[in-house]
Amino acid sequence: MNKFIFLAAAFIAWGLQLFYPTVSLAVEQKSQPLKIGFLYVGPIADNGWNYAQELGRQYVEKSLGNKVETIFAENIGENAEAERVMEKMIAQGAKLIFATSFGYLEPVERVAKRHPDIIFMQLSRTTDIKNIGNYFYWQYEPFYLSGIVAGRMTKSNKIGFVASHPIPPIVQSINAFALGAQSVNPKAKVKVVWTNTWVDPPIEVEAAKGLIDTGIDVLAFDQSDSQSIVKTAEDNNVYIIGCYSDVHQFAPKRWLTGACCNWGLFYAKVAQAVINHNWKPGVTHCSLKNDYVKLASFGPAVSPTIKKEIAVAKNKIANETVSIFHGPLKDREGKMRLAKDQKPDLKWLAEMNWFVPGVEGSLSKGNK
Amino acid sequence: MSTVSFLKNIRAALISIAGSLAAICIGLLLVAIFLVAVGRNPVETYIGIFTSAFGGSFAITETFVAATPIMLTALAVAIAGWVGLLNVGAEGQLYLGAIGATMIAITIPNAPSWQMIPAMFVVACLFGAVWSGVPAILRAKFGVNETIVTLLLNYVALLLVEFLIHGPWQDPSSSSWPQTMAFSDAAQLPHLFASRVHPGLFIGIVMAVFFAFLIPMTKPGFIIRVIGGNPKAAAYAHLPVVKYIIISMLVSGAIAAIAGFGQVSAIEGRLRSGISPGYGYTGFLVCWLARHNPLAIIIVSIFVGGLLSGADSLQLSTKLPFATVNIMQGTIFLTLLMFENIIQRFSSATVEAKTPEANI
Amino acid sequence: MLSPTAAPAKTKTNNHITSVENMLPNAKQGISIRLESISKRFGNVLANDAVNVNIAAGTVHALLGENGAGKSTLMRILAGYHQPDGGSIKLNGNPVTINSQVQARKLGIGMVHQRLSLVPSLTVLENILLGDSKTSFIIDAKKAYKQISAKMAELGFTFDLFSPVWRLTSAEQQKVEIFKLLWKDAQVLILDEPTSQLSPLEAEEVLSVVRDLASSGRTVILITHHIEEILKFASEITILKNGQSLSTHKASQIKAADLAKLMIDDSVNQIQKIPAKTKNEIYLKLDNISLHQSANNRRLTNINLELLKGEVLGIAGLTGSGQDEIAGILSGQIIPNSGTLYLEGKELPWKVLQDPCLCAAHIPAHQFYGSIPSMSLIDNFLLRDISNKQSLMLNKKHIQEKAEKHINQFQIRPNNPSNLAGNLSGGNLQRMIIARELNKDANLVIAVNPCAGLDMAATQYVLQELRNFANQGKTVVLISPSLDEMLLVSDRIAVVCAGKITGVKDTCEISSESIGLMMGGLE
Repeated sequence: MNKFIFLAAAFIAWGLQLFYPTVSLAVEQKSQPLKIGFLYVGPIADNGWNYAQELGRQYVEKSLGNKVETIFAENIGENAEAERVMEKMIAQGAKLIFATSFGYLEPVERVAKRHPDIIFMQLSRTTDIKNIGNYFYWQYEPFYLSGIVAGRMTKSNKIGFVASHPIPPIVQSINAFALGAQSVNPKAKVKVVWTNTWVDPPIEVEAAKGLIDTGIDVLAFDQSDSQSIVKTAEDNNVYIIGCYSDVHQFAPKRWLTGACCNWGLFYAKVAQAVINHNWKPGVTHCSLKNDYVKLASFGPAVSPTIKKEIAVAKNKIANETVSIFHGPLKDREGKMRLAKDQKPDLKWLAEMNWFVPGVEGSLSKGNK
Repeated sequence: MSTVSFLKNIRAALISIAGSLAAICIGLLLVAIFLVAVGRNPVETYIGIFTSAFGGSFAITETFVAATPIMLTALAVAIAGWVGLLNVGAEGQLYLGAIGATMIAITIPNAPSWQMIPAMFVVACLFGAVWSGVPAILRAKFGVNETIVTLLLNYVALLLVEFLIHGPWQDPSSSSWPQTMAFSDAAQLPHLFASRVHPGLFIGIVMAVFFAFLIPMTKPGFIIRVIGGNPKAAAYAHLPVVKYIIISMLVSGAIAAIAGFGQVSAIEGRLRSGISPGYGYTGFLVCWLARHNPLAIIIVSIFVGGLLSGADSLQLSTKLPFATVNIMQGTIFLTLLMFENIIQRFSSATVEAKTPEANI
Repeated sequence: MLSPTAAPAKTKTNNHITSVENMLPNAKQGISIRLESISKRFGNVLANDAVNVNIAAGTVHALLGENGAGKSTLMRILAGYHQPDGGSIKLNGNPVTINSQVQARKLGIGMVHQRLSLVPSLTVLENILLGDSKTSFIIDAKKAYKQISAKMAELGFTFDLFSPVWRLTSAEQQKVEIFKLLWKDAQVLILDEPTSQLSPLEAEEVLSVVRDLASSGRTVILITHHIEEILKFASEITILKNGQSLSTHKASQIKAADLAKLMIDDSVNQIQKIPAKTKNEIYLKLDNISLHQSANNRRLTNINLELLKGEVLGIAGLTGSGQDEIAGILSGQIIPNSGTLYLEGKELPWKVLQDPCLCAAHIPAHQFYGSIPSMSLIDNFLLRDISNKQSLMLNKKHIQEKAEKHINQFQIRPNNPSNLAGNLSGGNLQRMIIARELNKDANLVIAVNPCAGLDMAATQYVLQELRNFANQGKTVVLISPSLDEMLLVSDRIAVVCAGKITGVKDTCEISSESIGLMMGGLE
């Protein structure tokens, strides 16, 4: 009993002593490099989403040299933990923070309100707060191109898709993928299985194997990590379309291509804008046009003819001569989603919660 | 007599503190070997962790934020432990508290704060108590092992949350992201000191102090100690064993639920998955490190909260991968637990030797 | 007092002795033991102070002494559990060093502890094979059964090898323990209080086995404080007192009273028969009580028992005859399946006996039920007061004073009330329980084997206290394996046999012989 009173007293005394000299951790001076914080939802060694982010960070460091300094934290949950880590990044002097996952918006909003002088970049979600910039990555564009490859390569006309969370960006990718496949192979069907998780190799492998059992011969996915699914495809002699990072080394025979991110260019541009004091909030579209998303390298199975076909399609999309989603477009239930001549805008994309015809598999209840 | 016993206590406390410090130092030394191996300066690293956990008001408040759910769940484990039960289900009870609080927050979103907060608190406690009440009744009436039941109910609780946030409670405006809608301002616990510290911390401290008084000083506390010490002797003295076991477990679940209430109401502002990165299990560990002593739980949970929050600096300053955080925390817990036994043996051995007329 | 720390005179010179054969060429002819100035200190306590004992081969040698005289320590040194601080051990004249139990076993020394070490759920056979170095990794049960039964037949043991141990009586369990040692070829058997949990008939049964073993060449050392047993079964007696060896006597040449005088500090008189006041008012009546777990397993059948005010009623019986169940019912631990309770003439529900205020004071058969090892003596004393008039807040000062009073009254050592009950020796724990129960404000005391583990002076004190309780007009139920105790204190003795009461007699009308016959269901 007594020992704890003693302990408590000692603890309080020590705590008070810490409070008195108000420690200011980092006194930043104008001439110092811009400190940029990166928040990763998973481990950078995932060969996928977070690895692509990390490559982007390294690119920023390389291209901007001593004008920037970067810090990062991996494996940060989309919860209160993120709030704390961002606060600590700010305490260390970070002036620009990239929140590289969908679920970070709520913590980012809370931190941004407290620190109006810090610039935050939030992925895939919009907000009214002035010091948060938003960026959407139109991964559906490279997925459309991948879909063309898949549509050409499939023999059974069944293509599998292991999908993470049923949120609009992912639904966009699946729809574009299906549209791409159908553009060259109208019989192609895309079967979707949801895992409801960004990363969980055993569940992903199980989902992939389940799809393979239904007779698919091309597999795509959007999980944060790549290795397990890609290897599963290689082992089961199924063609594989990658996602986020180029990991053809895991499937030397069966790798087709992949829908990849190219964050470095974009991040460097944002950082440069902040350094030049001309950063403005708003929405950036990472698309084939500005090369912020791209197609991965082709695997050995892809013929030169297909490669040429892809190059043509890519140019059309990048030049905006063709829109992937163009009216008239009906969903698989027959409801008109995009009228003839209507152009898809950001809001339309951000609310996509339906599948185009030819996509099989449920969409979670809340979206119907 | 009393001064002697006082001095004895101080002596025991000093041995215990010195032992724990030694254990932590050895843990840090082991991690230091690792740090040197990967080319980092261990001293700088540790200073970084310490500053990140306790250097300055922001760091300290963040440590308190992490310590709050740990403290509450550790207390929950302790309460069950005092009647000799092993509640491994604080994590699940925390989630049930979060569900209970959320239920009120989203069913009566327009209620004023003075109705909302108490209602959320009460329903959270009730839900948590139900979650611990099931194993309590199974234990008291049918002798079912409460350890296994509480452990398994954790998974059920987690799945229940997943079901709710993917299904009926999903926020229609959150683009299919699995979470409920944001709570109204009235449903959010106020923050204190311009930080994320919320009243849950003080509930935890007040509870701990209350139990530190109740257990040794009062009649119900004595009955609890007897049941925990030897339930057969409690039955022999015709003490109401079943009643106390059930009440203790209900209170245990309710307190763990307060942690969940605090997480959704004050920290997240909504229910989503991952509101607890295993606080219930950390609380279990903390309770054992604190030897079920409520006042020690306050201190140990703040220490562990600091360890969790301070470990950020490993990534941010020392630029070590996240796995290092796990390695460091694991090593320190392990050495503390190992030393726990050694210290106990050492201190009891010295006490024995000092007893003038030990019996042979 | 000697200072044992000064002389760590361990006989480490005998490293060459490795096998039993080498040093004991005539193992069959028995092993004689010579313990020379053995000293052992625990903390500040000198448990053995230059003890000398000579034990001849092929005899039963008794070590007699009060609680804490150092008997157990000395024997644990011989069995390899402790290492002596000084002194030497000689087997058949050859000095040996016994560093471990394994080595003691190699030398042919085995010990049966007061608390038996059998696994209740395993069969006798499995228990014997357990910890047997002859058992290989894969147990050949058939072969083992054959060998063990042969050995049993050779030594004259009979028990069912396939029965689980919990089904055996205490005496049979004790015999299994002894056989276990013999199966491991023990030539020296150390028995620590083998009869403390046994009824007199059972004790006799076990001790005659022991005597037969000695006459077949084995050396038996008996730790006890039952003087009668010793005089009947041992050939030599060494008295230990305060850690020192006092003297050794031939059993044939000394009287019980002299032994008692030597053993205890202040020579006390033999326990005097305490006059009973005759009263006929009924305090409690059990009417036609039956208790059964199932139809086939009847534990009590049609028990009728009247407890009078101001009397001590003894309940005698062989272990497991139903006396424990009667104690359980009277103390409120067990509710019978049928039957009626009358308290002072009124029919009352059984719950009355569970009311913490009205319930009986109860000295339970097992100390574990009556104490909380992890709590202090203060708290252990509080156990009985807690439900009475205890207020919400505990008055620390008051309960500590009360605890100190109890500790002084019953001479509990160590006398620090903050000490944990689990640190007390068996005898002192029993004193603690008795102190608490006899100070409970109750009209009925149920004392089950209250003097287990107590020395003679304490036994006399406890019996006197029980008598005083009755003399105040209250009721005492005494259940003890010692008929002598019951005959000394009781006004009446009820005898149970196989769950039935076979007779209730006034003490002055009967002898221990006739009770013995009733207990066996022969009268």
